[in-house]
Amino acid sequence: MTAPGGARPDHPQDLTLREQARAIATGELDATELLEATLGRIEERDRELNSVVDRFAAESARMLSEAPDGPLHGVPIAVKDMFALPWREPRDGSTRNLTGVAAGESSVYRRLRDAGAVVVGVTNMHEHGAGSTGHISAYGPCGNPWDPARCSGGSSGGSAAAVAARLVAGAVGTDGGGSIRYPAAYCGITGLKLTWGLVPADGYTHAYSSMSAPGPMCRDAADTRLLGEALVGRPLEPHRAQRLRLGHVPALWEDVDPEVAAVCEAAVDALREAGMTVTEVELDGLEHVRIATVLRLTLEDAAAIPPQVARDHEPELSPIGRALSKYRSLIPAEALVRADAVRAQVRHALLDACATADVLVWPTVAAPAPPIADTSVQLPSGTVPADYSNVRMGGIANLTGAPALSAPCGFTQAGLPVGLHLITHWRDPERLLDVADLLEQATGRRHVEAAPPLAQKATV
Amino acid sequence: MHEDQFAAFVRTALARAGVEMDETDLAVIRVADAVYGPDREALMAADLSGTPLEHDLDPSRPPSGPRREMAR
Repeated sequence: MTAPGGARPDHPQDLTLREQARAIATGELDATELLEATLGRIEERDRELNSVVDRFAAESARMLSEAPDGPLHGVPIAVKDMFALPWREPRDGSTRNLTGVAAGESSVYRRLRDAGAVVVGVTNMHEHGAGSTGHISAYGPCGNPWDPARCSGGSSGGSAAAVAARLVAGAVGTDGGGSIRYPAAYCGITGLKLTWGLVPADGYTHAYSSMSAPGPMCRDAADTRLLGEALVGRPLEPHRAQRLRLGHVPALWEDVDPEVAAVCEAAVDALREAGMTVTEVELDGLEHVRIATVLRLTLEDAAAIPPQVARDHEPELSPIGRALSKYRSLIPAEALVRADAVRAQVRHALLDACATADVLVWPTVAAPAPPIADTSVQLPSGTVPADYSNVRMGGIANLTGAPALSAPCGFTQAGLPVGLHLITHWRDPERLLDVADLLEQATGRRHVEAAPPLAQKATV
Repeated sequence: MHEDQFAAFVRTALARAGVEMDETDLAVIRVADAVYGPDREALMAADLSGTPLEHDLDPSRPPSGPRREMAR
């Protein structure tokens, strides 16, 4: 039997996260064999991608030997390079993190461990989380499994690429300005930015951020729910999504690559045919969301890093990272006050919108993954940097703190994945998974089961 | 070579903050400002009077209480 896209269902790495967990629990799959298969597949398949930058054969074997009987017992998970592990200090995609987070037990580590999971590796990321492409990193650029010459996204690009390439069935990312959702869209996986504060921030390099939240990244909604439950430490109960109201926000469908817009509109049609009602919803304040997000992010970063540390670290930064760290010094304080006014405006606007729609929808990114060699994207309005385009689409979830998700919803003619963006009320991250699950059902699961060319090669 | 107004501003402003700058820095900053500068200027010029204030902002939950607006 061959799975859609040529994946091999007989190989434990091609099982979903829940299938791996279930097979281990029933004794059909030996957790030690799964761990070895995971390490082997990373070794062979990741050379083209550079998605997993550190692997832990000894530490993960030790975690497995001590793993409790939890919902993820024995399942290998990769984590972004932003979380302290007992044996490793996070580096933020750089030579070191600048906020002084040492090796230790981060909350993300503890919650994975308590669920029985095994941390098998650390994933690549955009330097200090300051980009949506993933091509700037002290570890080198991270390739996209659908086309390794293209960006995997950022800043959680390694986590997305590792899941899409079937190196791991689940990974943890973080999202301060769209950093889970953009890579999820670029790589064709499901990525959930949880409501701000749902996962404790200790041992997280950006714990100071009022914008950033960790979240699960998996192939489909059910796996994302399972890993998300481990991270938040409570069930994310499924509910029927058929009767929910989907709010179509016209302004965020403007200036989108026509092919991307068509794929996303088809996904909205599929949800409508599955029973959801679709209405148009306006959101106030959108015209300044992009700059408000960028200002808040960059100035929170600047404030969190001691000046001397920043100066000492300067020679280790990429030329772009170094220059941008200086550029922050030129931003007038009044701009931040104004950004916070926009933030309040958008938070009220989202709350108002939630009265007329249960979930709001637009494309996750306006254009598919750009080439690593040139990270600009072509939009109807012209050619712009991907970062500039992306933050317009994703920043609202970070300014508001609300949960948001990118669900795979199709492909361009060139075979690049497209993601559908969903956002909802602060209290209901589960609802996003319900809608993503409905979308999978309505489209025959063909988008979540498609495997990239790299995963179709006969490998370990 | 005569330094343009933008370069002079960047060099002077960074020097006042005790930050050194080279030509690569300036080139990147110039691009970044060309991309984000217009949006920042639009934000600075925007009439935000009447927008709600949220001094007790908690990103984990929606805004609470009655809307208080920025002074006109």
